[in-house]
Amino acid sequence: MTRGYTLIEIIVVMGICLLLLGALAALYRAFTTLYVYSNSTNATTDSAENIIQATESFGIDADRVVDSYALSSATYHSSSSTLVFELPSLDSTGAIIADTYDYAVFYATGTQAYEVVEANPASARHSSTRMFGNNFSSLSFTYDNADPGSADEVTVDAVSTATAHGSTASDHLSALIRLRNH
Amino acid sequence: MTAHRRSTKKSGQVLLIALVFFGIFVSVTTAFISLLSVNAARAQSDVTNGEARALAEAGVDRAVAALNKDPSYTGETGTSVGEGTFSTTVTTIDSSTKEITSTASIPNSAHPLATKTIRTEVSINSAVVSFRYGVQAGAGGFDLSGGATVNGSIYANGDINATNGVHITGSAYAADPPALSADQTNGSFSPIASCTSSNCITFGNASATQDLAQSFKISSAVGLNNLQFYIKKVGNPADATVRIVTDNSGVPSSNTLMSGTLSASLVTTSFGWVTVTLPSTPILDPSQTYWVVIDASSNAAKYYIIGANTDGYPSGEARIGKYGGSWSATSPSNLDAYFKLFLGGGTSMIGGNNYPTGVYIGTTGSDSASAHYVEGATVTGPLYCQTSSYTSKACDTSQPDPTPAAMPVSDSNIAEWQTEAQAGTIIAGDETIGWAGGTLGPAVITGDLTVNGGGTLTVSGTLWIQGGLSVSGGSSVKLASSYGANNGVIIVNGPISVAGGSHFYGSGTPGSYPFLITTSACPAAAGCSGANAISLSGGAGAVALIAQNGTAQIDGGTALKQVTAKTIVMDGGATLTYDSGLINASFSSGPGGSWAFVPGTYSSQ
Repeated sequence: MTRGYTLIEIIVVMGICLLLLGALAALYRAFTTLYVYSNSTNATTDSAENIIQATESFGIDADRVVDSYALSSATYHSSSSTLVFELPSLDSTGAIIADTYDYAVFYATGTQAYEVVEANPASARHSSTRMFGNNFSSLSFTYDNADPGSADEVTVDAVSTATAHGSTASDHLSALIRLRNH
Repeated sequence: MTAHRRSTKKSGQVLLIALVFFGIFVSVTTAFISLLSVNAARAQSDVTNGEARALAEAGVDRAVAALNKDPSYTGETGTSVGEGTFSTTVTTIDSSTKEITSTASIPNSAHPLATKTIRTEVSINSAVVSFRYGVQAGAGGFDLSGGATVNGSIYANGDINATNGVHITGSAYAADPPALSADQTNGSFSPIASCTSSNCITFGNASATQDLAQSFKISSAVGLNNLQFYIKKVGNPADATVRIVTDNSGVPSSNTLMSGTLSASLVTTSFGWVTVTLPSTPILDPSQTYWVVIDASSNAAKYYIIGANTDGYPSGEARIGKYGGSWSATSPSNLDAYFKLFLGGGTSMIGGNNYPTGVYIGTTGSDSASAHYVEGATVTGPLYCQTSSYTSKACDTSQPDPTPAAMPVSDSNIAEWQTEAQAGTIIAGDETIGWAGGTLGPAVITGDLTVNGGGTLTVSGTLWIQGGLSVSGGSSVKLASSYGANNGVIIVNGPISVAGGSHFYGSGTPGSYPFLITTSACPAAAGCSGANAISLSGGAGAVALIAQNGTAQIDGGTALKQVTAKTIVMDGGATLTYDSGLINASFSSGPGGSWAFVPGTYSSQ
């Protein structure tokens, strides 16, 4: 005849299980909170880092900042809130194509920051539009010359923020870009 | 009889449950840690990418430096620097252009975390300068005499004194100086009712306070016109000599550049502004400090008192003492005399003899002379002036007086050439090239360069001599054949002296000449001891001379190609033959010289 469990044993086991489930629930809750917060932080860092990397990547190869350029969609003027680079076009081997240029525009509208690239048909670069995120509180450009078109250096300053569970994560990045081809 | 209990063995599930919970816990923790590490990994990636780009650019810099030492450099592989390695390849595009490809890997090319490749072009740095006139003088103008000949046109931002049979085969232009203006003043002037030690300086009353000096700096290289002093006299002192002297470590020197007279009869026993007229040459240098010295005599009953204030003139100060002797600060100190210094004014002149053949101007009917006043000239073409005397024809008054023309070489041109020289060898101290000859360039010599003993200096790149240059004893200076049709440059900070039958040559290709350029302001600068910025005597050859801050004196010499200076003096049969190719003179340091990055050719992957 199989011995059963006593009431005390069952109560003890149920108590232990409840404790373990409570701990698991608390761990799960902490994890989800941290997950959401970490995701927000990563998102702000992603946004700010990506736009800094993109402006650096185009700016280093640029031969000048353009005062004003008309893309197919709109006309952009380099200022403290908008940056227009002119870059020598490249062929598939990475060699510069003479007298041929691509253009890259960076700007923010509200909390969204964008990159618009217009590449020459002969260039190995591709025309594209990219949004860096929806969490920018500030995107500004500073030039080492009162006339942006004569600048040798551009400073990009990006601040992105996100709020999660009542906490605000903020990322502030800045980069000095020297136009190698200017 | 013993009853045996059968043991019952029951298996439990605690271990299984524990393992399940452990597994859940490990999974959660692992996921959490991986989230945290995402940012760190991204940051590390950014750093290594940045390192790779910086290392690739270092490879380009290394290749440029190597090319400037050895034009045959073709690159290198696997050079370790810091956290990574780079490899470079140099490909020749043409004789003056090369492409550099530099690839850097962090930490190495075998297992890179980041790689960056940069391609760029480098070329021989070149500049184009326009020399539109065979001879061009600044505000100091010309002194041509003794049968000097210019085969070309001349332009002066001052007078052209041309006498005793000078020949100018092209046109001659003498521009009016800028309008008269008060260039320097003690701006805090207020009339003095009665003297105190803080608003009056007494001089000429004792030996130790015999003379007064006031330092100043002019703002532009324009001739002096006059000085005014707010001054009165006690008794009846004698006239005083007003001297412009150079600075000697903060006190007036005894090197008088020009002088005028303070007429005692114009000074009264009450304060008033009294004018002293000064010569317009030599033209002072705006970068130099000068002193105006009122050199009086000493008499306890007959002396002068000049108005003054404390720190009223920020660019100088007053001193009391004795010209040629010692000087001391005023008491109280930091006083400045009330003075006004006027530059410019007046009109231009060509000629100087009281007969028409003092200077011959022109060869054809289109060669002209143009100045406000022309005296003693024979002109083949139009004579544009307002008044004239002893000329072959009457003035054509239809044209305005010429205006000053810009000098052909700018400070940025000179800075570029200095940078070219700095890309080469640095020679500390003085350097001498003797009878055995030698090759220099690109190079910087921190002292003097002397070429003598009949030796030949071959210039293989831009030279910058921070002291003076002396070429004598039948020596030669020539450009290396690698210059081709380009001109070469020798920049000198101090005076240039060429004498004793020395010769100059280009590269051998027509149109190529050496340019001797000095930034010296001699003789109107401290330490010149009367030397001119350029002194050329008994020398010859295809050479262009430039001394835009000083005086070029040319005695003898043939086939000089171009002369530009603030003041130009030519006599003794000196001949200058202008090469029209100099209207766009092309300069290059030549192969093996200054390779430099070409903006617009940089690309990265």
